Amino acid sequence: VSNDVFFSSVRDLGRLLRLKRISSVELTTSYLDRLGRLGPRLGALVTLTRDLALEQARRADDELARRQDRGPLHGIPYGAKDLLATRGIPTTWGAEPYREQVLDYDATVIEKLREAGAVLLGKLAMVELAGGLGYNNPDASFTGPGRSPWNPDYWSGGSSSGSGAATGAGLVAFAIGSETSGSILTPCSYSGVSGLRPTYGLVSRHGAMALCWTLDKLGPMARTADDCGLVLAAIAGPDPKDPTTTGSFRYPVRGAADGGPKRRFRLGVLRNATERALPEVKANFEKSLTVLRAFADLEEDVAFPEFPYGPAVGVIVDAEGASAFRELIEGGKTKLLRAQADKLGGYSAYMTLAVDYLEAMRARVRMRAALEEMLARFDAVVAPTRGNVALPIGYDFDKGPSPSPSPTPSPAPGAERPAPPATIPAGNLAGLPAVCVPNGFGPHGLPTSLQFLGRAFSEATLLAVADRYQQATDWHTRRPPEPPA
Amino acid sequence: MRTTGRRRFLKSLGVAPLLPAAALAPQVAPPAPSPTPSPSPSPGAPGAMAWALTEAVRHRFGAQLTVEELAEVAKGIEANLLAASRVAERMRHGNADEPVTRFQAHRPPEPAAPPPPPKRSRGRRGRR
Repeated sequence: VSNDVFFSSVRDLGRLLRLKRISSVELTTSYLDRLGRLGPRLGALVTLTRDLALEQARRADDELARRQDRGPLHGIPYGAKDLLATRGIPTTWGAEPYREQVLDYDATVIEKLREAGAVLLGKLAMVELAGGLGYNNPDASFTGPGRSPWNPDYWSGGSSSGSGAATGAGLVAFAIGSETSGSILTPCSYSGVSGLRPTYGLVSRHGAMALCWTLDKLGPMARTADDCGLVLAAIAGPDPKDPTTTGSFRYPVRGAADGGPKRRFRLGVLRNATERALPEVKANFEKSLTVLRAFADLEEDVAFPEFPYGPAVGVIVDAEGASAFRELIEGGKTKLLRAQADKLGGYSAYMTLAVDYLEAMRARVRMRAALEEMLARFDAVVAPTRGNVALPIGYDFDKGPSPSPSPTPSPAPGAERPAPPATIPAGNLAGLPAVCVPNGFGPHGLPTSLQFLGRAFSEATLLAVADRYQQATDWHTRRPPEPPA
Repeated sequence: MRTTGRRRFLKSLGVAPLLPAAALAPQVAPPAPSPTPSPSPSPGAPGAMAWALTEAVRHRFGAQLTVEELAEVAKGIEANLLAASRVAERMRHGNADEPVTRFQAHRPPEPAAPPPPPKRSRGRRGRR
């Protein structure tokens, strides 16, 4: 199997399977070899599920031969972040205290993907406990730091580190990640892949490790926005086992969303979107806007509602995370965690005052209303996904700005530099969907990324915009070098 | 006002005496918990409120933590308090402004409607 296959989109792989150019067993065997061989080099793999994968692939081949087609994911190999329960297979949450944990049920997302005919290759590495106890370094998992496939001396992002690295390196056709505040978008940005953070409640979290009940979401990470749509259609929808689920998602025929392939979209460009960003991020964003202008009307300088999004996320994750991991904290087992900040972060989170938590939860109501008012005028607003590229392995986040060969220019003396719009914490607090796609490269050969943020349940529109962008660019087709041994 | 209220509250719990600040000299402040790294509040040295809460941590978990670790916990608490105060200062709420979480009582399923009484059917024979 050639590298062309490993870096094919889900849609193209499905075509190859149906044309019988390759079988699911052949595809799965090749991906298993590649994931098993290269995954550990990138800190991306926890458990290879070889037997299960081959069983699911054989079944897919049998069913497709009998023309029992389960849809676009039938026979397609994927990886799951290791916070999703898989019956009889370790589910470690990336954390030493849970390294031997084996659950006796499947997460709803795993069940839905099985019903869609997808093939589970393995459980992918993640930041321990999805980063909820305040990790301060990329080396925050018992599998070591996730490494960007574009330059393994740099982080693949967190907390869905393995999902980002494995998808970016062509070790899986797609992956499932989770986001509480940035854990899908950041690894997509640092690993050069496309990703979708769904509206809160669109995808069941049953069987997923809980970090923060009112913020946690599960979503796809894939080569293209179109693939994200195919995966989302398989995993979205109501689930009686997750009372927060609401709404459903049907991925329209490609190009047919919202008025067809010739529709012009209306996009807002956020004010100060590239403030404090690396020069390469800024340049790539401006080039992206030129591409978008070909099929969208852009309104520049759109004000993003100003609220203390980051601090509110911090208070809410502290309170809910300390409750979710109370037993771990009270038992003194956070000392077994890898990152120094995680060893102690639970104790400070434990002391979050109830009134502070409730104040933050009240703030979300007004934040949600202000964001809805701003977003109602657009199909999406755009901004760089992150203002930087991946951070170096070994770098402490709390030691100040990342060292960069291309530092951002200093403001004039006495001038105060405005803050960029806090799209990631804001979007998460309001439960809004976002799609991100690669849009170029920055220092050290590391990718940069473009983000589309939209109204709740506007995934089809966001995907249509991102798909049009990817039809006009080739960043998503670029391939990283083979990871060094 | 907030800080004074908190102090009074903690005093009422009897969590004094506080750890001596000199024994717990701050070094590097851990960031506010965040699933992905983001600029976190940069607190200065832990204030009285942070030390008070740290004393509560020591009271509950002292056997698990060294003095140096408690100093780190104090800095984490200071960062968290700073985050909370930033939210509170920027977002003033009215009395009835509810948080987004809403408790709902469990609504039991409607009891099944009793089956309709059997109709007295008179067969043709009966009518005859």
